[in-house]
Amino acid sequence: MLTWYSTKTKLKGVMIMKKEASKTPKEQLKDKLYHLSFSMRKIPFKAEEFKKKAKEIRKTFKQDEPLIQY
Amino acid sequence: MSLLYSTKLLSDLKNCDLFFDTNTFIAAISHPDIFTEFFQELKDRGCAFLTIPSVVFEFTRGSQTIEDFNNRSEFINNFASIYSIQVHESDFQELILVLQRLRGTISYTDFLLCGCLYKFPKSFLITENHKDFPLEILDRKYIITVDTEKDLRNYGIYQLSSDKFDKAALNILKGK
Repeated sequence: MLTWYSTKTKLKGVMIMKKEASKTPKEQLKDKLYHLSFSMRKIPFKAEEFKKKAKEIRKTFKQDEPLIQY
Repeated sequence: MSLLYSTKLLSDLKNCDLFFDTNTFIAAISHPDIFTEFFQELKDRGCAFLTIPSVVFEFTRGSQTIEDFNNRSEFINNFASIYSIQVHESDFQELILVLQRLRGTISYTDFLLCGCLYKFPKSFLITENHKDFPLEILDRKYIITVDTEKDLRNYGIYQLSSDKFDKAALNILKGK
């Protein structure tokens, strides 16, 4: 494990996307197809519907429920 | 009540992917009147709204009834695309090492959101959680201030910095 980290020279270039390059063509194709099918999903923004739904959901938050959760 | 941000933000996020953290969804439902126009502006510029399954989990976990749960799920599904970043987790070994060194207590959701920025270096993240997204590897490109009657909240728009990331990784390699 973590063999890519054991290099002592030229860390840059060994780092980001190293894994990507080491994938088999089949794995790369699978990745690309996943991204392609995902990127074709375009969700239109409907302002009035957004406002209405947001207000409905807001009512379901309990008074003591923290609005910001980490 | 108002929303304050640099106008450059809108042009910079043109045709970009923007990932949402749970707190931003909660802010959006808390102040739809403030956020709707802003989101509309982003959408008009081709910005894609994205999030990840664990954010959906966090957002829906306060549901009291099945109906509430369905409403919250439907809301996110109608508003943003859910990207299953966890399927790429095997690509994140470097990131895990760097993040665990920088933020030992980071939550799994925040780690996955960082993974989104790592996997798609041109994408952005919007969050109110500034302590778990380390500036040692990220750039805080913009700040959005929400001025309500009750309080003042700041949302950051973050992007991965390859230079910073390499430097942080190098420091780990050197044992710093």
